[in-house]
Amino acid sequence: MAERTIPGGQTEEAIQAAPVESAPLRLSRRSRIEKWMFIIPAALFQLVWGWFPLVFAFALSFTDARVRGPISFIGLQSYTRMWGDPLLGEAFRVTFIYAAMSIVLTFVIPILVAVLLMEMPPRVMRWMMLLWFLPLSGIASTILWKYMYNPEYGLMQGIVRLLGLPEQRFLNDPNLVLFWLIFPGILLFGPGLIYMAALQGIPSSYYEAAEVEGAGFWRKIWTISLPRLRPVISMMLTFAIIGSLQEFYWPQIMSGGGPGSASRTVVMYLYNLWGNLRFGDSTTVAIFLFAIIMVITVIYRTFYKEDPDA
Amino acid sequence: MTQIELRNIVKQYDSQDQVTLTGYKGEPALNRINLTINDGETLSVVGPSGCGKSTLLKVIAGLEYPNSGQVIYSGHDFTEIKPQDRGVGMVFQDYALYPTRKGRGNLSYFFEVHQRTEEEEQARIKATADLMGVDFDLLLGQIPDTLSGGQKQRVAIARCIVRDPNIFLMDEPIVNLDAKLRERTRIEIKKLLRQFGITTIYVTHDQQEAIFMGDRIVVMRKGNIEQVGTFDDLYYSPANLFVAQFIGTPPIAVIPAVIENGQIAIETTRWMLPPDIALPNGAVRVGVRPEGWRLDTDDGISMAVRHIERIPTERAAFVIGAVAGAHTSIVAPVDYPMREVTRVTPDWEQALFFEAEGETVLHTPGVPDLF
Repeated sequence: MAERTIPGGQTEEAIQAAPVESAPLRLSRRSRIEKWMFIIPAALFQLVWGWFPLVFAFALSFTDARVRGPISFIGLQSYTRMWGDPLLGEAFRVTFIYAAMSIVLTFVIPILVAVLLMEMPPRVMRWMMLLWFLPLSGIASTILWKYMYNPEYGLMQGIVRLLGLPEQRFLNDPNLVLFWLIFPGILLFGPGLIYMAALQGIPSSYYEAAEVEGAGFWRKIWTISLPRLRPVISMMLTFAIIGSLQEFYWPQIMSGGGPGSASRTVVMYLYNLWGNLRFGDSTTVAIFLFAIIMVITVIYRTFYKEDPDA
Repeated sequence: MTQIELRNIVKQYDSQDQVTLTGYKGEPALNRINLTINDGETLSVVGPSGCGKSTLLKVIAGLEYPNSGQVIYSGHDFTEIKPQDRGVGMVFQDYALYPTRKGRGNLSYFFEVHQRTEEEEQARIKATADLMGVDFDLLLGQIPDTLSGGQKQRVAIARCIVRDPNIFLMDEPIVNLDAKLRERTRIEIKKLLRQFGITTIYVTHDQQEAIFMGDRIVVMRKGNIEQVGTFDDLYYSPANLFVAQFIGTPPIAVIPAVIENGQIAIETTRWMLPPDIALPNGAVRVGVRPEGWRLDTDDGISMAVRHIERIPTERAAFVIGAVAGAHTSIVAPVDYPMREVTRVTPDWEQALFFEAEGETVLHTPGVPDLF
């Protein structure tokens, strides 16, 4: 039954083949105005809260702006001063270590965990996902973790004692403070949920095809799961790099940057400068950080080829 | 060369996996299946979705193990054998090509997994490419994402052929292709199958495809095999009402009637039945295929015509309407004029008779003797 008769005696094919009277693709005057009315509110917000501060910060970084008094242009003085500040160097060191650790621990581990979780019985998996999806306020859980890390009466110390491990100083330990700041992120499993969603989207026939050919567990993961996750991993890694280099609120609330400056990240450092009303210096650091993140992201995106075989 | 035999296969999925809004699905996916697939035969499996046809395929492949029953390959019990040791080649609806590997890489996967020699791999790929046609070499150099649906399926089929399987299992292999390509691929697959003479099980929900591909056809419903046979068997002597209604487009008309002393009455219209149809008195249902009617007869029953579907390419038309309230389609000449009401008479020699309730067949015309 290739063709059907349609009232009027024409076949579907004939109708499809008939030339369509194409209206010129130009919007009427009215709809052109409507178009702008839809765009303007969002564009205005973006301009006022997004682009203006960026440009303003950039401008501020070339001045000696403080709360009062005249603002004068001082060129690159802030940049040279900040460049020589050992505290900033220290903050960058902390930030890079923090970023590297958090990418390994909260980015790579969840990929493996997600892949393994997919092998669990569906009931187990559903419960795990439910637990991870429980709505928890970020700040509230941060404060909660601060109590859990208390070396005297905290829950974590209790677990450590239960396991018979040596007592930990947690956030008071300058060598491990960054690890303890990242540790809750492993349990929160944020990106893992996205991997699991992506893994669930892989049709089972892929694994069946591999099974019929005799592929083992790891080969299936290597030739099917990970390649299919690739686009998601790429996007998530970009976010992870940007996010971890801008880390602020976990260390700010939990350790306050201490002990000493062992957990003071760059954003905390510039926040303190701002608090000290050194607006010019503070924005200078922000521009520094912006440039570094930009460079790292561009390098990463350049070296990361979208198409593995292209 | 492989003959496959399924004995009393029961497959029940874990009800936990199939929680629905209304509760658990309790029915078995396969309910005591007995089936023999002869060596070199192509067997089509057809049925509405959820009838267990894909599960049947997975049980044969070893991707699912039956709860009870046996899977016999050429006389050997393969029930517990892993899929990779059964020598099955499987083609899927969504092609399931390894995404990061080019066509060639997809073909060589098996040889890598089993650590065969490079020479064997190259020789087999070469032989397969020759078999698949002139332009197939081009596909070997591309990754799946850059191939069209038809090309992907060719690579997927080649991936099966390359390792010289004992049996082919095809799970709706061409359903994702557009109509023209489907036709072409169908012919191509058929040609390959004939060339190989490999035992093949071809699952589809499209009866046309099943008829075209299969030497024999299995009709399934709700985990049961309703009938196995050639198209003529299914068409002229269906095992029950379900098969009669499932096979044939447009579908058979099923009309309530009453038999009384060799006469049959639909509503108030009466006919004499041919003497060779001996049925007891009482209520029945008559099944009449679209070509089993005579139009514009003097003794006919009136049919309310809803519309006439003309198929100029086939030089025919279907008159669609209702006889005694039952949906009816009748083959007519392509220029058959439109009218509100027409009088039609079943050709009683071709008619099927069913019980008034239930699905039992009382009488079928049997496969016509053409010679």
